[in-house]
Amino acid sequence: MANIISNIQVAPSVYVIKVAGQWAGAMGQFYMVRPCAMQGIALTDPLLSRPLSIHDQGDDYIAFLYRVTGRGTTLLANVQAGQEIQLSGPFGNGFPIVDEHESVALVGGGMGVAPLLLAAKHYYQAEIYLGFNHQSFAVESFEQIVDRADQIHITQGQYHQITDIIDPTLYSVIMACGPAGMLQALAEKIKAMRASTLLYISTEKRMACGIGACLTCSIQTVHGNRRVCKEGPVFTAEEVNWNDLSHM
Amino acid sequence: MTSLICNLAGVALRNPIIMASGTFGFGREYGELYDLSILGGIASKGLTLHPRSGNTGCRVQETPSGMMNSVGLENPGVASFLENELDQLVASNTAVIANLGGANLEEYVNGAAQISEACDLRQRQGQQAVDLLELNISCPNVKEGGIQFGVDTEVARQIVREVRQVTSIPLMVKLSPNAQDIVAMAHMCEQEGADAVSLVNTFSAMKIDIYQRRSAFQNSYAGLSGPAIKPIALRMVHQVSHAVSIPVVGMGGISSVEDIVEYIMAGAEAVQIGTYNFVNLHAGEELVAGLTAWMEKEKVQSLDEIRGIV
Ligand SMILES: Cc1cc2nc3c(=O)[nH]c(=O)nc-3n(C[C@H](O)[C@H](O)[C@H](O)COP(=O)(O)OP(=O)(O)OC[C@H]3O[C@@H](n4cnc5c(N)ncnc54)[C@H](O)[C@@H]3O)c2cc1C
Ligand SMILES: Cc1cc2nc3c(=O)[nH]c(=O)nc-3n(C[C@H](O)[C@H](O)[C@H](O)COP(=O)(O)O)c2cc1C
Ligand code: FES
Repeated sequence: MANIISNIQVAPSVYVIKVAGQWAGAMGQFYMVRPCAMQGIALTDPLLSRPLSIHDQGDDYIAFLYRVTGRGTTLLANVQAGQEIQLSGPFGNGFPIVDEHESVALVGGGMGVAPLLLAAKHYYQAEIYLGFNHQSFAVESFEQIVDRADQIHITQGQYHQITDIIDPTLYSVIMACGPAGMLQALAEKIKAMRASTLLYISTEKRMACGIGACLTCSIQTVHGNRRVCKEGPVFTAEEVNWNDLSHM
Repeated sequence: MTSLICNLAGVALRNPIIMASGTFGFGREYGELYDLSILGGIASKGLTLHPRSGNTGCRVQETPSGMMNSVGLENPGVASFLENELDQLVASNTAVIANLGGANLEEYVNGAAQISEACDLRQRQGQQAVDLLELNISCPNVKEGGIQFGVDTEVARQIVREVRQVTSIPLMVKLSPNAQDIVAMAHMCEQEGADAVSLVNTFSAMKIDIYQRRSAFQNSYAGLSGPAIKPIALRMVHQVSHAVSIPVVGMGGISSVEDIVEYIMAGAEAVQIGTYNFVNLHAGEELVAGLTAWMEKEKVQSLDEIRGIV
């Protein structure tokens, strides 16, 4: 059980929840989040825990950036500072640590910006591309950790795609998170420009256990099936099957 | 002294709490979270003779206090299980139950024979093997348009009969709640020489994506599990355990010690915990401790005192 420090709306339907305690985890890993059992009685509606990427982390807190989309996240948005939630994790394989000579870009679309803040803390010299269909959020957090303000590039509105303003030939490694369509567009742009850029993507599938036991989160890859919760959520763009990823 | 020991078709279980097939993998992941030797047993992920990559598209949907899955029996196949998983399952020092499915009769029979031969060999070498074979007859019968084998008693009879002939491992048949007559199905298993029955598997169910205007699952239907099914599953366990004399393992929606006690009172020798493992990753160890505490508090020294009293 974990104590909530704050749970603040940062844009329409978008919240940051900050939870007290020392929590393990690396960039791109996630936690399974659910309401606490009450006096030993498990709450079973909603039944399943919700996977949320680690957004931020400090010595005495962990934070998640989330969008309210259904029953679970609606309940989450209604818990308040001082109340408790339950976190299990960290789970999965996050973004890789690459050689410091590599030129790295981080690309996030919509809620996909959530796991990139921790990545930006590690790759503080990386170029950061953030795309929003509607109002932007979390941008100030990125501004606080980068070396130079001009490292951050932002697009906003449905007619401005973040993938349009990236020149992949400038980067040897891109780490990205966002809707499957955006990730695929990025992979196709890299191919079309014959860039040798290695693209890592953070994927999403519905999950039940979160630890690799139930196989509800399997995705098809060139190596056979892989579990998003265990071998993922980060995969290279070359190994995934885009058609499979577009099914939630 | 409180005793939780159970006797399941000649197999001594430390306690009646078994982890259900498909919700516990081969134990590896939960083994990193707690000591599996405290469990009554572990039922493996459903195996088939040949490896299967499972269903495409969405594999899980939530419903109030329940979930539907369409994993489609993704598994590495019997040979890979015997080679790569059995040793570590045995090392977890709890009863090992191999759950076996199949796409047709031959696959069931050959899968059972292969497990059986490998276990005979292990036993000759003094190694522990599979303690029980759990026959999953809820698989879709491809020849009959995907209707589960476990719906029609006579279709299922053929599988139970032929599998029984190729194995001397204690055989437990896992019944489908979608059976036309689940009591008749259990009778059939007893007649054909099964040593136990377990029930229930998941209920055939559906979810429609109203914006796409189609089923949320590529296979149309999926299997419903979790607390939502418990009252119906409990009724079925009650009916079956009063109808047959072989042991019955009850499951469906268990999420508390009280649920376990209900199943035992309905007549179950042991129980299986499935979906609740997802809700509480430490379900196994907490329920074992909780059941012990409950028995001490209620001054129940052995589960025999309450088994089938309702
Ligand atoms: C590894 C991983 C990391 C994620 N990180 C974040 C994050 O940092 N911030 C954020 O806002 N969202 C994140 N998501 C998506 C988030 O898990 C879903 O938005 C959330 O589960 C929706 O729950 P709900 O109760 O609001 O929706 P409902 O529609 O009520 O959920 C019903 C069921 O579907 C599942 N589900 C629905 N949408 C998704 C989805 N997009 N991905 C996975 N499962 C889904 C739910 O978990 C639940 O089991 C992540 C998903 C994954 C797989
Ligand atoms: C994700 C998932 C996968 C399952 N896979 C199998 C399987 O491979 N073989 C089998 O016999 N039952 C399988 N089941 C059924 C369970 O073992 C159990 O019978 C059912 O879920 C009811 O119990 P519960 O409500 O406690 O989960 C599966 C259930 C779930 C939720
Ligand atoms: S969520 Fe269970 S295996 Fe990934």
